[in-house]
Amino acid sequence: MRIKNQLHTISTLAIIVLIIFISFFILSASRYKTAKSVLNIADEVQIKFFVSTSLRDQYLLYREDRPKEQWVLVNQNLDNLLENLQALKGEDKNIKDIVEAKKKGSALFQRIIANTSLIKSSLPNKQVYSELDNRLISQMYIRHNEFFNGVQEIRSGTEKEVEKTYRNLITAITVLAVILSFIVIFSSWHLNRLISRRLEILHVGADIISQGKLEYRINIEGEDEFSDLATSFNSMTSKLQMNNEQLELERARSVQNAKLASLGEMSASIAHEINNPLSVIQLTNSRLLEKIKKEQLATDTIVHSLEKNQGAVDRINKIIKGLTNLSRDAVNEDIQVFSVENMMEQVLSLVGQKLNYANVELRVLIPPGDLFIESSLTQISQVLINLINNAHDAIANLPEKWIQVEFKLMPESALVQCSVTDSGNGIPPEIAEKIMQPFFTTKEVGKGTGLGLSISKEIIETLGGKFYIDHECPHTCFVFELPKIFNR
Amino acid sequence: MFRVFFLLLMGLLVSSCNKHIFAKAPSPLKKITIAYTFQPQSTLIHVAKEKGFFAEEGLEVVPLMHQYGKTALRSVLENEADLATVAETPLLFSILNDDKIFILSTIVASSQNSAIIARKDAGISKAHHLKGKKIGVTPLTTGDFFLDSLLIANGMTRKDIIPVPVLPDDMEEALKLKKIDAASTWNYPLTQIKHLLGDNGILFFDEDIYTETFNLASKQDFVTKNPEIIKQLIRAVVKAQEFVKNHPKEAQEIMARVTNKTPELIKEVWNSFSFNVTLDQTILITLEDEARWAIKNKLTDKTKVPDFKKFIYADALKSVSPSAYKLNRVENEN
Repeated sequence: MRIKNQLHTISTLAIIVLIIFISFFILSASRYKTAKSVLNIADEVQIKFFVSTSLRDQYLLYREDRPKEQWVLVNQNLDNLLENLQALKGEDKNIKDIVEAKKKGSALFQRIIANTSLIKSSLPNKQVYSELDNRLISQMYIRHNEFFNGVQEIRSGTEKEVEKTYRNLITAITVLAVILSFIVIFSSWHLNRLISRRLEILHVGADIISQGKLEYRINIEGEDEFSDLATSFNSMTSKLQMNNEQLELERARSVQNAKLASLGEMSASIAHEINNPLSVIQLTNSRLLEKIKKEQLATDTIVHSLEKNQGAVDRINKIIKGLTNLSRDAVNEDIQVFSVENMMEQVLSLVGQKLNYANVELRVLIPPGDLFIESSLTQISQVLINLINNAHDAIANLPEKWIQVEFKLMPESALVQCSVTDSGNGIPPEIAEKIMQPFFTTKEVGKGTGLGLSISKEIIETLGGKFYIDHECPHTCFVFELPKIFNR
Repeated sequence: MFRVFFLLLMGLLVSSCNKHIFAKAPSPLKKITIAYTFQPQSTLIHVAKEKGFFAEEGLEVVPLMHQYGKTALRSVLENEADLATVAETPLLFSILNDDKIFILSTIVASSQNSAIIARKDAGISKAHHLKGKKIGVTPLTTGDFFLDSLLIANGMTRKDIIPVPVLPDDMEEALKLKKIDAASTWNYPLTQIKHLLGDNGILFFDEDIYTETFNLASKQDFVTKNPEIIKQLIRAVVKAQEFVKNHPKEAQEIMARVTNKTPELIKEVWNSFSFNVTLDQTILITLEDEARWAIKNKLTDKTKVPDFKKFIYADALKSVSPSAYKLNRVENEN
C-alpha cells in the first residue's frame, strides 16, 4: 500500500473517530446541560411548593384572603416552572403525572376556597359543607403528596442523569484521547518503521553505487513511493553504468590515439634511429663483400663482421620492441613487477635520439641498485614518453636544454616518486590551471593533440597514484607518485 | 497466540461445565393462598400469576377467588387464605374491629373507579335528584363511603336518601327490576350497568372527593412468621407492575381471559387505575378520613381514629423497592 494512501487511511480513521466522539460528546454535553437545567428547575419547584403548602396551611387555619392571594401568585410561578420543565423533558410520563397532580391539587384548593364561603354562610346544612371541606382537604393532601413524590422522583432521576451524562462526558474525552493517542503513536511507529527500513535500503544502495559499483541494483519490494524511488534510482544507475562504459571506451581510444600521436611525432627520430644500424649493416656487408671478391678471408674477419651486423640488428630489434610495447592497447594489460632501469632503457630507445638531435641533455637518476615497481610497465612508459616529449618541445628554443628524470623511493609512504624536470622556468599560473584539461595545448596547431597531460594524469590516478605540477620547483617540474606495489 | 486462545477456550468450557454440574437445584416452591377478586384492582396479582412471576420468586400461589375485597379479607381473617387483595374500607373496619392485620402495600389507586349509576326513568337527571331515592350500596365498602362523599359534595347527607344494602353482583339485577333507583358501585359492574341502562342511565362521580386504594393485606401473625415470603410476594407484584407498565395491551388480554370479560370492557376501565406498588400518604389519609366517617356515623364502637401506621408493614417493600416507600418523605414535609 502506498504511503500516501496509508496516511490517507490513518487520517480518515482519525477523522471518523473524531466525528463519532465529537457527536457523542455534543450529545452528552447537551444531555448534561438539559439534566442540569431540569435539576435546577426541580429544585425551584420544590422551594415554590414548600412556600405554596405553607400558604395553603395558613389559609386552612385562618381562612383569610392574604395567604389565599399569595398562594395564587406562588401557584402561578409553580405553573410557569412546570411549563419550563415540560419544555425541557417533553413527553415525560413523570412530568405529566406531576402536572396532573398539581392541577388536581390546585383545583381542590380552589374548591376548598369556594366551599369556605358556603361554610361561612347562614345556610341550614352548612355542617355538610364543613364535612365536605374535610374530605376536600384530605384529597388535596393526597394530590399534593403525589405531586411532591413525583417531583422527588424527577429530582432523584435527574440527579442520576446528571451523574451519568457527566460520566459519559469524561468517558468520551478519555476514550477519544486514548484512541487518538493510539492512532498517533501507532501511525508514527508504523510509518517510522516503514520509512526508516526502506530509507536504510536506499541509503546502503546509494553508498554502494557511490563506491563505483554501478552494477548494483536496489531491491525494495512493494508498491509504495520508496519502491518507485528505487526503480528510478536503478534506472539512473543503469544509464550511468552505460555512460561510464561508453566513457571508458572513449578514454581507452583517446589513450591509444594519444600514443599513436606520440609515436607519429617520434617517427622521424625513430626512423633515423633505425637507419643508423641499417647503415652499419650495409657498410659492413659491402666491406665484407669486397674482401670476399679480392682475397681469401680469414674466419676471424668474417666473424667480426657478422658480430658487428648482429649488434646493429639487436639495436633495431630493441627499437621495434619498444615501439610495439608502446603501441599496444594497455588498458587491460596485466600488472607486472619491472625494473625502472629497464623501463628507462626502453623509453630512451624511443626518445633518446630525438633528444640528441635537439642537443638536450638527459639526466636519469635512479637509486643505486635499481628500483622495482609492481604496476603497468606500458602505461608508465607512455606517461614518461609524454612528459619527456612535452619537455623537449617546451625547451626547444631555450639556450640551456636539459631534462632530468628522477625516481625516488619514499619509504615512509611506500610510494615511488618520479619527477620529470626540464630547464624551463615553470608554467604560468593561468596555464597551470588548465593544463591538465583534455584538448588544452600550448603547441602550434597540428603539433599536439592536447590529450597528453590529461591522459597521463588519468593513467597515474587509475594506477592508484597522484599526478601534479611541483610549483615550488624553480623549473618546470611534473611529478607523479605511485604505490610501489599495485593496490588491487 | 494459539496458546492463549486454547487456554481461553478451556476456561470457557470448564466454567460452562461448572454451571451445569454445580448449578443449585431449584428449591421447592412455597405454597401460599391469596384471596383476590376478578376486579380490575387485582390486575397485578392476575398478571403475576399468569406470567409466572410468583413461581420465579419461589412461590406457588393458590388462588381463592371472591366477588370483592371485603369477603377476600374475611377469608384471611378466617384462616382460609394467607393474603388478600382488598380496598381500604374493609381494612378500616377490620382494624376498628381490632383484627391483627398488616397492610403490606397499596397495589392500585383510583379516584375514578367509584360512581353512582342512576335510572333516568326514576326521575334522576341531576345529583340533587337523588334526594329521597332508593340507592343500592354494599355496606362497609368503598361504595358505601363514596356514596356518603358524593352526597356531601352535593349538599346532602345519608338521611336524604334511602340506602338499600345490595351485594355488588346483585346491583345490576336490582336496578333492572327497579328495586333501587340508583347504585353506588365500582367496576366492572359499574360500566356493565352503564351499558345495560344505555340512555336510561346517568353517572354521578366526583374525582375530587375520594381516592380508592386496593391493597395487599395479611394477618400480622403470618407476616411476622414469614417475612421472606412477603418479600418474595412483593417482588413478584413489582415485576407485574413493570410488566403492566411496559405491556399494557398484553396485561389487558390477560385480564380479559382470566375474568371472562370482553376486551372492550377491560380497555374502557383501564385508564381509571394507577397500578403502582407503593406505600404513600394516600392510604393513611383515606383510612383516617374513613375512620372519622365511621365514627361519626356510628359504624363502629370506636371513638378515636387509630394510628394506622401501626398496621402498615413496610419492611418488605422497603427492601424490594425502596423508592416505593414514600411515607417518610411526607412525614418530613409535613
